[in-house]
Amino acid sequence: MNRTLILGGSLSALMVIAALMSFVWTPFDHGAMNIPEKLQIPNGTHWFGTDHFGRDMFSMIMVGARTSIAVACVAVGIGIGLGVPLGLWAAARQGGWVDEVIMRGNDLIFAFPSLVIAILITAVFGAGAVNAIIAIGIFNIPVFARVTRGGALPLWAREFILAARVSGKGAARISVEHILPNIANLLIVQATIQFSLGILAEAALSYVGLGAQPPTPSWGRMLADAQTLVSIAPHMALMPGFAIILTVLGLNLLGDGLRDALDPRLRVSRV
Amino acid sequence: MSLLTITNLSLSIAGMPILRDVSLTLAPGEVVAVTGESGSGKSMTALAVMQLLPGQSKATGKITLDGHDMLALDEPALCTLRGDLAGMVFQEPMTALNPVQTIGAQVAETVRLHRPDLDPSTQARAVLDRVGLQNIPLSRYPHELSGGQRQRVVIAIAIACGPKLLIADEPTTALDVTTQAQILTLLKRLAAEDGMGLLMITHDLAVVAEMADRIVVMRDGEVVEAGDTPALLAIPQHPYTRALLAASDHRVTLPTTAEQAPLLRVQNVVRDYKLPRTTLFVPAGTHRAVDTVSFDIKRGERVGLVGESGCGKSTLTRAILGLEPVQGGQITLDGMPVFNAGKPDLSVRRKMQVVFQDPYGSFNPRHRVDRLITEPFHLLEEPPKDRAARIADALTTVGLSPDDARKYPHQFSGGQRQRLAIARALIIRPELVIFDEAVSALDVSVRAQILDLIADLCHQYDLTYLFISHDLSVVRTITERVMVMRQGSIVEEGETETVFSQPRHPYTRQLIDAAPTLPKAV
Repeated sequence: MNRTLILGGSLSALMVIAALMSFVWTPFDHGAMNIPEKLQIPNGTHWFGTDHFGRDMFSMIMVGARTSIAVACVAVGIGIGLGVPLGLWAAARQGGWVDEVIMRGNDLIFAFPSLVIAILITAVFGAGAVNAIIAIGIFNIPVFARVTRGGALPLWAREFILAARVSGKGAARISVEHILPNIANLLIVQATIQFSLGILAEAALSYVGLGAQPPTPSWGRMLADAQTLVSIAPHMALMPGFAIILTVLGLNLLGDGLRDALDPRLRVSRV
Repeated sequence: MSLLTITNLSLSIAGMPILRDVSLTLAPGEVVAVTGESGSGKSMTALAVMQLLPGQSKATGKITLDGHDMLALDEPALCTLRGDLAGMVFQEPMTALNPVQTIGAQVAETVRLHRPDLDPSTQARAVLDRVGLQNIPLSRYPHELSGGQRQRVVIAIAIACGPKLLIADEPTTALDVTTQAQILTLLKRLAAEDGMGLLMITHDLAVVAEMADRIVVMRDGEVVEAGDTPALLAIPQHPYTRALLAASDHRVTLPTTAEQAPLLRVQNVVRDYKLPRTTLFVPAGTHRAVDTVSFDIKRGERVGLVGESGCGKSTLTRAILGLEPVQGGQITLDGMPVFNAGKPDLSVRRKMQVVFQDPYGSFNPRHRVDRLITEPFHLLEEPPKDRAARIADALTTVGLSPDDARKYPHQFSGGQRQRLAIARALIIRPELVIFDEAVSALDVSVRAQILDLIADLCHQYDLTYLFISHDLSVVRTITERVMVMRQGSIVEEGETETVFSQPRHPYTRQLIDAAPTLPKAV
């Protein structure tokens, strides 16, 4: 086992556990206001302190993790579910019109600044977690399509693909049986990166008020709430900030570690 | 006084012993060949001289190059010696050159580093002239040159500062036979003219037989035998050297077959490739890779196809396999067309299998052996019930153990992987097997084993195959009929022995003359 994988896995697991645990237990009710105890710095009772309404920051971050994970998960799912098949299809028909249409479609989506379009979508269809998911998800599709196609193209020139074609296998079957397992590590690394970008994007949308709506807690909105009070209660910005940083760091380390661990060639040479 | 002395050099990389007590000497103007199979440590010996070893390597012993103790010098001191005192030529000229710099700039770079007294571009021109590139401007990029020309540029870089030692690591392995002969002549001439010591690293004994003064044979990191070339080749002392010599000249006997009906018919096949558009309004041009080729392969016949790189052999292979459409003519197997409008026709495909050159690239690294070699079962209407027995049988047939079925391909050596590739090709008992440079990437002794295996399978199964290769000696022993291909057309065809002993076409003659041969054993 390598240290990167352990550290990344632990940080990511910590967030998932926090999110799952928030369904059954939080130290305080995350929505309960308690004005007399507002703006407390972290202490024995309120581990991460309280906000300007006296809500417990620790409980809010736990519940906020739920939102972040849900949004990032579904957004990455949309990206993989549509992007990978499109990328495989484009690679199998390299140079043909299918390839052209798919890749130029990708370029079209890439041409728009993703966050601006996400804001546009939420502005038109209304702010909310579901629309944020769709907006972030759409921009994951070309990322995965491109990574998939890029990884698949050199494989198509390899002799084992030729051997499979000689065995009468069609493009779809070869893509699933031979191409996909060989680009899985690429996709896993990309997925963890997109997952962390999804968390960042969700935080950014919530920060401008277009993500999950109150009273659902969200790390981005906690940051937005903290900005006017940052000079008198810095912990209000620091705590959700740290949550975001550690989660993104953890996911990136996890992706790195997984890439090493999943390669059978590396696996045996280490034994 | 010798130019290079290696005394008891031992080397380990990350704790793995690579070299043990290697000793050799090289006098100025002498040509010494270090030969051996892959993993023998011959390249590591060369890299140790230049101190270009990979990280985590520990060398003990002594390497003296023109009075410098190479193991004791620090990196800046080594940098001034490399390129100035000793130059190096690598195997693959395409990767040894920087693709985004002109060849002039790359040659001039060495001059600028080591000889500030000379004008870099004048010297670059002079050196390129010396290696026979008089007509090539300095402003050319590597991709605009042929493989042989690129290797000449690499040699020019190595000799630009007039080194005393030239190390050539498999300088001709990536080249065609006719180009190989020219490069070898060039290296020999340069060494003689400048009084350079030339250290040749090669796996091919035939290559060095004609040019080396002395030969050092290595195995598993040790020198097993060293001596003057004629003596060593005539009376090899060590059993390994004898085995190596026997393997380089390996002959197999094929069973004779009765006249049969044609199995594969190739009639006037034309294969064009579209070239990329150069201007917007002119239609893209085409490159004719295969030009009206016709031949038959009869059932039970073993046919060879030889030619140099770019002659269209691989293109023809793909067309025969039905992987790509042809622009003219027809290819039929047992009367059925092999290419059926892009839709693979399983009933034709199942009669044909292929073994590729690269034992590392022809298997999906993520699948286990049982899954890999049973891939052709996909061609059958229903997968056979006795799958496990068939796998065990196929593995035993090619000399592997049935227990190997659960291993991954990277757990096998190159030769074993080629056995796996043959097992995969034979598992559905195809009527025609195509060997596409199937032994070209293998060591001589492994190659001899694979050739034996193929001959053995011929005795057992009455195999019909098309053996494609650039290596004439292999084709000569493993086929009965041979076709010589050049620039997309077949220039000569006939009984293998007749073609080799009495070539009619000048190109065939040129090929046979260029192929390096070992002196006949006494």
